[in-house]
Amino acid sequence: MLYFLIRRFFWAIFLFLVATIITYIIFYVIPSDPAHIACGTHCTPQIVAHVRKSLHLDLPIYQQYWLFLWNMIKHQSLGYSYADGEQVNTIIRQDVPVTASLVFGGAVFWLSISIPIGILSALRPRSILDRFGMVFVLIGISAPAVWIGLILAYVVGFKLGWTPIATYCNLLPTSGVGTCSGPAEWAYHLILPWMTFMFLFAALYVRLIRANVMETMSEDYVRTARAKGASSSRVLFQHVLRNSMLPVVTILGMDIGLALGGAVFTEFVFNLRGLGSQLIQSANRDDLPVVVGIVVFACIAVIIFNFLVDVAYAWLDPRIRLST
Amino acid sequence: MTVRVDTPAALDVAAAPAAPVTVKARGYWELVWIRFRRDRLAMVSFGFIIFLFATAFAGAPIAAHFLGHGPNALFGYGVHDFVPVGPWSHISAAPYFAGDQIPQFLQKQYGNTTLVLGASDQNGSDMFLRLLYGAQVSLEVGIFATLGSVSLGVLMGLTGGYFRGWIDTVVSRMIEVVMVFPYLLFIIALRIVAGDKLNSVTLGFLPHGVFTLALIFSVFGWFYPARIMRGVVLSLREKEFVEAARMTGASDWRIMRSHLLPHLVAPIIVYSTILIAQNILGEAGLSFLGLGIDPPQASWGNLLANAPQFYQTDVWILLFPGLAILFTTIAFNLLGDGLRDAFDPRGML
Repeated sequence: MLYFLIRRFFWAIFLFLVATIITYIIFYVIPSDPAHIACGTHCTPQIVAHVRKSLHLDLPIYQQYWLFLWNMIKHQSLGYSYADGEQVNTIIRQDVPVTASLVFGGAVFWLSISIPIGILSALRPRSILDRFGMVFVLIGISAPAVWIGLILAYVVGFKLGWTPIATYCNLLPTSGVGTCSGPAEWAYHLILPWMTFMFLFAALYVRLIRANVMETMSEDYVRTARAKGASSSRVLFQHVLRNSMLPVVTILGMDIGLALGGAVFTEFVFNLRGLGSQLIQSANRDDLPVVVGIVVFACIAVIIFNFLVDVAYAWLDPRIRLST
Repeated sequence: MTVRVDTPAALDVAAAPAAPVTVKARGYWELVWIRFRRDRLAMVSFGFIIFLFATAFAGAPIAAHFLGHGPNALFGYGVHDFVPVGPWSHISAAPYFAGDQIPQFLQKQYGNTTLVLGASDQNGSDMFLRLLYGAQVSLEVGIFATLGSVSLGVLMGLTGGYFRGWIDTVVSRMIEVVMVFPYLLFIIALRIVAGDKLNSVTLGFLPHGVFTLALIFSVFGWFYPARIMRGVVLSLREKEFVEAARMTGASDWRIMRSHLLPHLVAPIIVYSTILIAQNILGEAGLSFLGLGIDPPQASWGNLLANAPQFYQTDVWILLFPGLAILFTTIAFNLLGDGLRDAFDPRGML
């Protein structure tokens, strides 16, 4: 297990380097002149030259990258916004709670619906529930994310008026007039975004869990357990689920990256001020450091989360836990 | 090649012993087609996709001809009290003149009314026509992005799986890296920095911006087909026919091209069909954010982008493009499922 974890740890560090290099290349090498972008529209050549020097854009690319990396590791700083000179760290810190509530709350939502549906439809293939589940899966993988969000906003939020359509409330109680906060308000305002996530991801997970459970059910050891006279619930919980849920853990780790991408759309539709909407807003005003900061931050979050999933996996899977 | 007795013919034999027994060899594609034809959902989807291509590429100009205006025509009277008019509205083509009453001289010049079949957007354009022309964009992005990513994926998967060794290590590590990353963020990032330069690339026939999306989706979409192809090739390369080919002195290139590639045709076709649906969704998503196809070029995504502003007053703006995307992607997904079953030789005949 230790060997496995050490290997995954180095893999995480490697991923971090690759992520920063790709991000750096995309943003600072592909566009013709970052200095010009940084300077804005009304800029004389002298000022551009000055900006280029002060941002170290005149150095060779590998030195620039090294500076970028060094600032990140030594000072934990992602730089300063071109638009208003604010620290990128501060901007990200403001927006993280929104995106985190969205993604993790959404994950709880989609898992809590897809696990039961997936298992039940695998146990009773071709039943009404299974067919219903398959239609649900088909719509979930075929519908555009934003459209599901907007339809939910229209039907549940607008026509029925059951939930608020937009805005975010802080989880922790904060004082202030006209602001909403506290866990109840927080969850109430996030129901629609979570449901959007649920529709998108539950589809994939229902299909995955259904396939895994069905495959495990046909394994020899399940037949042996049945032959020994184990009750069907014991077979299901002790033999089938323990094995068929392992891949779900891995996929969940991978999908956090996908979910961060999905958060961009969900935040846009429901007007939440999270990382995704910040990314689009900064992108539209060519605020490169903020965009880079968000992309790098997202990558780090995904890498850390994947490492945690690896640890969980190593602990859950006896083949790894007991290996030396 | 399997040789089978045609069942109806065999029955005929039982009824009339005089008739000669016909033994018919069926080709691979014939068997696939027979299996595919059984799947009603897939057949309906296939029909829908053909219909969609016909309406998008032939129907759109015809509709524009009969309606007398193009998809980008702006109608001042298409927006009434800041709300776009609903479907099947007769409005004047005259430029908007303050007040609802159209002045006499404009009426004379522009005729009385023009028909807007679909609801219109904030510019008062005809959504029906924009949907038809948007279908062209969606299908083009879907197909070209799929072509790009699948060819890259097959190349990577085939070389990695066939040669093993360090090539395979590099390929599979690359797949792992791309799979873990929040690649949607990278797609957005690449579109932001490279979009302006690439958008004007049309290769002579593509609408504005299609090339950018196709390229970006290819760059970030190859890893999944590569993984599938690599898996298939890994098991194929140990088969006897590859060994036999190598023994007769076939080169690596020849083995890959003539012995392995034909086995990949089925997974390539199945996966491409599903990937087209994914890429159509990708176009819709990016255009919705304003990072895909830029107006005035109509696309399903940028039609949907009008929805947040108007859906509470004019729900058509939300429904039409969304349903167009939904039906198309469902059709491609069902077609993919049907093809998967049809290509499976274990499937019943």
